[in-house]
Amino acid sequence: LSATHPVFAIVGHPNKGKSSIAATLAEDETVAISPDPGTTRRSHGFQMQSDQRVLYELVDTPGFQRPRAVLTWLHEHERGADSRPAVVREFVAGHADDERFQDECELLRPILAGAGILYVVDGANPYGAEYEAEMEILRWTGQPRMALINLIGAGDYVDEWRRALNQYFSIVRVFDAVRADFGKRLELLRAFRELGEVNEGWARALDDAVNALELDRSARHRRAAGEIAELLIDVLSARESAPAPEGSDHLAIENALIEQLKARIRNREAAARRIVQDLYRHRSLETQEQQFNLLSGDLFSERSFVIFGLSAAQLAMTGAATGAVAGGVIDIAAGGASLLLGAGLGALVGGLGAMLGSNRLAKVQVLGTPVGGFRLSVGPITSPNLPWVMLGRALLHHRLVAERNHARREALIVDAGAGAHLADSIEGGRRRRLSAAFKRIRDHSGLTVPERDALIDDITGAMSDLGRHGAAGPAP
Amino acid sequence: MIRRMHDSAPERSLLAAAIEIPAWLEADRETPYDERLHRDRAIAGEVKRSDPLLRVREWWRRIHGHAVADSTPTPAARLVRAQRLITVLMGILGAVAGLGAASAIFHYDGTWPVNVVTVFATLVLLQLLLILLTLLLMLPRAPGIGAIQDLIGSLNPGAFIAALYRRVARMDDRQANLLLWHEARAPAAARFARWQMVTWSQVAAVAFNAAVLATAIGLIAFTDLAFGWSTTLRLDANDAFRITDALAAPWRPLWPAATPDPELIRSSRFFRLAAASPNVVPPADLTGWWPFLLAAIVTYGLLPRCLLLTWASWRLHVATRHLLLDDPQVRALLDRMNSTEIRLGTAAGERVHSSHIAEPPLPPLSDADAIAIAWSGAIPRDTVSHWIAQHLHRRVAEAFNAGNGTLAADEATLDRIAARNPSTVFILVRAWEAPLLELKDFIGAVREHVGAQCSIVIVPVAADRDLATAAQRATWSRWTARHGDAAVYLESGA
Repeated sequence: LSATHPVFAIVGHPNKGKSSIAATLAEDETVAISPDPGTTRRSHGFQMQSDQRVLYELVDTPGFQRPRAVLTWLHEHERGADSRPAVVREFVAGHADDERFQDECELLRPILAGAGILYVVDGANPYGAEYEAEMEILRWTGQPRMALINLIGAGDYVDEWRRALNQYFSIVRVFDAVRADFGKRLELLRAFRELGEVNEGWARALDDAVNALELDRSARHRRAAGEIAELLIDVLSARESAPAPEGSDHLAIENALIEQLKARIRNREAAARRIVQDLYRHRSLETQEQQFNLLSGDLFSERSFVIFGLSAAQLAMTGAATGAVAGGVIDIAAGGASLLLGAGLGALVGGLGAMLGSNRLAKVQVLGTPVGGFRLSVGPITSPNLPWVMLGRALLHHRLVAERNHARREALIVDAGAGAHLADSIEGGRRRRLSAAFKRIRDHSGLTVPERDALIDDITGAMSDLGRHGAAGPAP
Repeated sequence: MIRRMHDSAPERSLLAAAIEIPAWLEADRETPYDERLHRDRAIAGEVKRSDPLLRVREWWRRIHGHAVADSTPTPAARLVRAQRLITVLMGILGAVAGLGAASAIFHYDGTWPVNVVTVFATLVLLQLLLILLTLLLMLPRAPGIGAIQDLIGSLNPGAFIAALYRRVARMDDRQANLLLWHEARAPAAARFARWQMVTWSQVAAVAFNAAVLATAIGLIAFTDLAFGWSTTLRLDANDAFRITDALAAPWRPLWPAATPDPELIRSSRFFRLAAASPNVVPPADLTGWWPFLLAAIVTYGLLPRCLLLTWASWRLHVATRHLLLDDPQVRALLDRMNSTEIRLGTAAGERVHSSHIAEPPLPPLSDADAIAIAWSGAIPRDTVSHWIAQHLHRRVAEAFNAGNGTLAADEATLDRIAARNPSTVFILVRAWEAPLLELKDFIGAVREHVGAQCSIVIVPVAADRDLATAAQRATWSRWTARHGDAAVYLESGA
């Protein structure tokens, strides 16, 4: 272990949440967590790095298995208080190949290499005297020590634990590894700083770690807001179209297009959820979320004639303009005597001709391909409520994911009903700007970069609004 | 997982990059974010350029260097080919139109001179009108002019040819919308399509003017052209001189001979030519107009079109750059390249072992000479007998403590237990605690002291002397089953 960055060994009795704390602080959902003891057999380092620079390192260790036997050995070899760390070192050196003390050697090694100690106990269950052997061994190492009272169940024995722990540890903190949100994690890191004050370099590195995590958190919020913005842009400008020739069943084509559009929106929303989860390192998280019903009545649909990419109206305008030019030539030929009648008549004839002749023109083929035809298009969705429902659902999902602890392993349940009304808690001015942005998306099938950035700003602001009002439904 | 793009040239066109990179990044979203951040941040460390476009293209070159070549033409390659083909087509069309128009306008069969006014009206005035319309199309879309721009766009030959090409080439993919003024929807795509259309029309216009000029020069050089002028408007020779003099102002310093003098204007008017015998009209009066006409075509036709083409090409380049850089995935890439990478570390993937182990069997029913041990203070020793009677419906003769004192104290307890020669030993443990190897050692020591026939029953007890929960029982049950001693049982009471 290097002494250039702070290192903390997470130690304790088996199954008291050491790996949960590592998973939470390292935001690693793959850390093995199990109710069975002995799940962690080897020490694992979790380094927090900021652009290659290691800011701190956590070492998840196996739990004590035979603490009283170890303590007995230490007492048998004691030479005085000043040599206790040396005696512990001798124990580890002498039992490196002893299968019986594999776990103790594994957990003591990083401490003897200079790591600070994070001793984890379960404050939801009663204190027991058998822990004293573990705490005494840790005291013998002479390293800075902090006790973390984890809360694995519903019970509350924190006070009796405090009384016991205060005798062995200079800092005692309560930390619910499975429910701790980001703020609590930062608080814990700041507490590590107190532990690291014995070393000025450690304190500085931990300050840097807290700052880097806060900046990284803001950046992730903004990236998630960007993803939500893209979701809204894609959904609000979504269209489906298909050829609808004369004699075909237009209703059946329209229904098929509506189903395609709904599937596309559902898939897009699911993809956005996955991406947001990935941003917060929750790739394996299962989400249970109700689909909302997109009403067909909210869909704009039309059957229009298209030729060379021009609609019938554009084609008529083009015909009229061409006719006007031709008529204008007659006017010039007549030396202005026709009083622009030629141009007017030409425009009328050209426009009407283009409109009436469009069907025939559609059948014209160039190299075997028809140049035009009727197309039926569905979308965009005109319901004014849609973007707010989608935004509310996305914000709720984001909040649950952002605050979700990596030690939790059950599925994430997103209450669609709560999400649908979340948008109500967005600040008034922001709501108006969002509303204007939704309209622009529908009108222009997207947003320019400055408009998109403004939308992302507002969504990021809405995330803060919800955090402030605590209106996001179920607690994460 | 990620589609590797086809690459035949070391440096693709900007348009190909604007199509390929976002498409690749879209597929790349399946890669974990932290992995992408690590990769892109590492590349960013090697890229010294600060211009975002250069950074992205440099990133792409490095990413693409690892890609496996694929012989299938990509949508981007098809689109770039279509773009080039349409550009060539527009050039050819413009040139053919210019050749045809110049041949018709400069047609001279020896009976009547070419009318300078017609030449000027068609090759200069009409073009100026079209340039005006093009400028209108170039303006940003604003309320009021949107409909006019739509109309001009519909009439634009570039839009027409692109739509026709798309139909004929059966380009039905989404990217092909980029070539169509009426179908490109999102702002960046619409801007690109607009400037693409304008560029194509300017290519045609430049080719048209160049062809007109070449044809005119050819006809002037190799045939015998005669020019005159005539108009129904009330213009006399002085008015005509003032107009031509003003029109010739831009080139007069460079080419003074290309300004018609009053005498030429006066003598080349049609009715004067009709009044005089052609034999007596000086040749200069019939041919003297050509420098003026050529200079006018260059100044008011070719040059503005060249300028417009340059401007449109530059705008198209900017629009293509935006097409790439405004893409949300590309913006996210730049964000990753410019962000500090925070890595929190990853464990080496230690896996949880399978926990499907059979339940241990129930102990034989015998109360004779049973004793109990409260391990690590699971419950107070004086309550052990009562608890076992209440929850296990068994009777114990004596209860002991172990596990919370020294190992020597445990050894002494074991000696006392051995002296009782029990048939059953109940070991009450704290249900919420994980079973330690220390307990396993103790059970082994009990076995040594009481013999192989004695039943050892593990009894997990919850906090406050409650019964163990199902989860606690399951943990202890698995541990007991793994213990390896057939006469070690588990009971949790009822």
